[in-house]
Parts: sequence; C-alpha cells; structure tokens
Amino acid sequence: MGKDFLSWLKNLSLGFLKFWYDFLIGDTPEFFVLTIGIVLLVVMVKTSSLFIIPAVLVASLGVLWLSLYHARIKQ
Amino acid sequence: MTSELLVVLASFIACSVEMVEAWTIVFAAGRTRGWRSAIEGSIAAFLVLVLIVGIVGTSLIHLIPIDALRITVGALLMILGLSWLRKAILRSSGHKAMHDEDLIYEKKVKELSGIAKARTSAMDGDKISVVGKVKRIYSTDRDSLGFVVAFKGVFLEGLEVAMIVITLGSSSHHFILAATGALFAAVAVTCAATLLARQLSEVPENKMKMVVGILLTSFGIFWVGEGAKIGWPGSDLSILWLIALFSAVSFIYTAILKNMLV
Repeated sequence: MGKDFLSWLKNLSLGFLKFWYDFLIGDTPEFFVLTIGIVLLVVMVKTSSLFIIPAVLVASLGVLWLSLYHARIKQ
Repeated sequence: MTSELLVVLASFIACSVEMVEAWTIVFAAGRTRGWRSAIEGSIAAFLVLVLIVGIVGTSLIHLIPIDALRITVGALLMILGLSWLRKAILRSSGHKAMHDEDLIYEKKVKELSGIAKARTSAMDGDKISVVGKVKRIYSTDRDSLGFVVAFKGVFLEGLEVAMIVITLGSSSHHFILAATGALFAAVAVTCAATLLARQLSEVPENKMKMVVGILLTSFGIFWVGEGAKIGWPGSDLSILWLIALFSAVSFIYTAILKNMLV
C-alpha cells in the first residue's frame, strides 16, 4: 500500500513537472526565452515607455518570425 | 468595457476550440466503450477543472500583489498566445497539417476497439459478437477504460483552458467573466455535439486558434507592461491597437510563408 502510494505520488509529481515543461518550453523554447527577456527589460528599465513599447513589440514579432521561419525549414 | 468583452471573447473561443477536441475523444470513448462511462469520465474531469480554477484563481487574486501577478500572468499569456499563433500561422500557410477531428476520431476508435478486442479475446476465447458490442455500448455497467479515456481527454484539453481562465481572470480582476465565457463555450459545444450526435469536424478550429493566439499575446504584452507601470498610450484601449497590430502581422506572416511554399 505504502509502495503503491509512493509510486502514485512519483507519477503525479512527474506529470505535474511535465505539464509545466510542455506548457512553458515544449517545442518552442524561444518564446520562453523571449518572455523572460521582456519581463526583465520592463521590470529593470521603467523609465521610458517610448523606448520600451517598440522594443517589446519588435522583439516579440521578430522572435515569432524566426520561430516560423525555423519551423518552415524543418518541414 | 472593451477589455471585459475581450476577456469573455478570449476565454469563450479558447474553450470552444479545446472542447471540440475533447468532445472527439469523448465521442470515440462513448461509441466504443459505452456512453455511461464516457459521460461520467467527462463530468468528473470537468468538476476537477472547476475545482482547480476556483481554488487557484481565487487564491492568486487574494494572495499575490496585483503588479507581480500581472507580470507573471502576462508572461504566461505571452508564451501561450505566441505558441498558439505560431501553430495557427503554420497551419494556415500550409506548413503544418490541419487538425483533423475525423482522423483523430477514427484513430481513437481503432485504438479503443483494438484494446476491447484483445480483452474480449482473452476472456471469451476469441468469441466477439456484434450483439456483445452493442450490449456493451448501451449497457449501464461501468467501463474503467472508457471512463479513463474520457476523463483524460476532457482534463488534458481543459487544463489549458483552465490556465487561460485563471490568467485572464486574475490579471484583469474579471475572474467571473472569464469563467463565464468558458462555461458558455462548454455548454454551447456540448449542446451542438449532442444535437448533431457526432464529432464537430466542421468547426473552423484553426481560425479560432489564431484569434485566441492574437488575443492572448496582446493581453500578455499589455499586462506585463501594466505590471511594470509602463504608461500605455490610450490606457486600456491600447489592447485594441495591440490586437490590430498582431492581426495585421499574422496576416502578413501567413502570406509570406504561403509564398515560400510555392
């Protein structure tokens, strides 16, 4: 009974970790890196929205394009 | 008002897309393993999801300071939105196969029938009659495999919706609105599938996925900025121009990738 419970707990924990890995990274780790970069940028440089907003948008659209282009090459 | 409407719209469309996918699995489980177990499995998964949304959603709102919550949630929405958008653009431009509900349904039915056949063969020495199959489908007995398959289908497809409802609802403080949008979608898709008595393969899933991807990415960027106290030009209305920008860029990216295919 104790062994069964431990094995169930282990599977549950692994399933939980796998869910978060698939959700955050999965087959598009570039979006994870991009998001962390954007969060760091906006938290650290709060001064000028005139600079941050275009930077965030260009970074997002640029990484999205690179990700699409890479996926296209893989086909 | 605009952002409230967009929150409801985003959770409604996201839930509709995932419900269509979940329904295909439930339908296959019901047809092959009996409706009672499939329905019970679906209801059990739905209740677990409601519990997760209720507990996690309300505790997030009450325990985490709003700015930190908006940055975290905005980041999650950005990751989710960009990956949905990427998938939808690749499918629209022909670089990835469309999500085929009919094919998934047939595969699932074959898989479940195969397991059933193997089990019955082992039990009855290869005597599988059509009467036996019909009896199983319409019987009131519980079937553990049918229950588990339906539960997993609804739970795994619904988990992403739960994340969307929690993140959208908690960052905008319109948790009830986000949950209501998802609940409406769940009821609407279930009614449509029950009335039509088949899987919903005609639903334009990819277009809906693209809309959700655009909405989630726009909300994500907006909330990260709000959490960091960036002054968005036009305040809440800037969500609209973000949506317009991402829609235009998605359209352009799809067109460019389509051209590359030729």
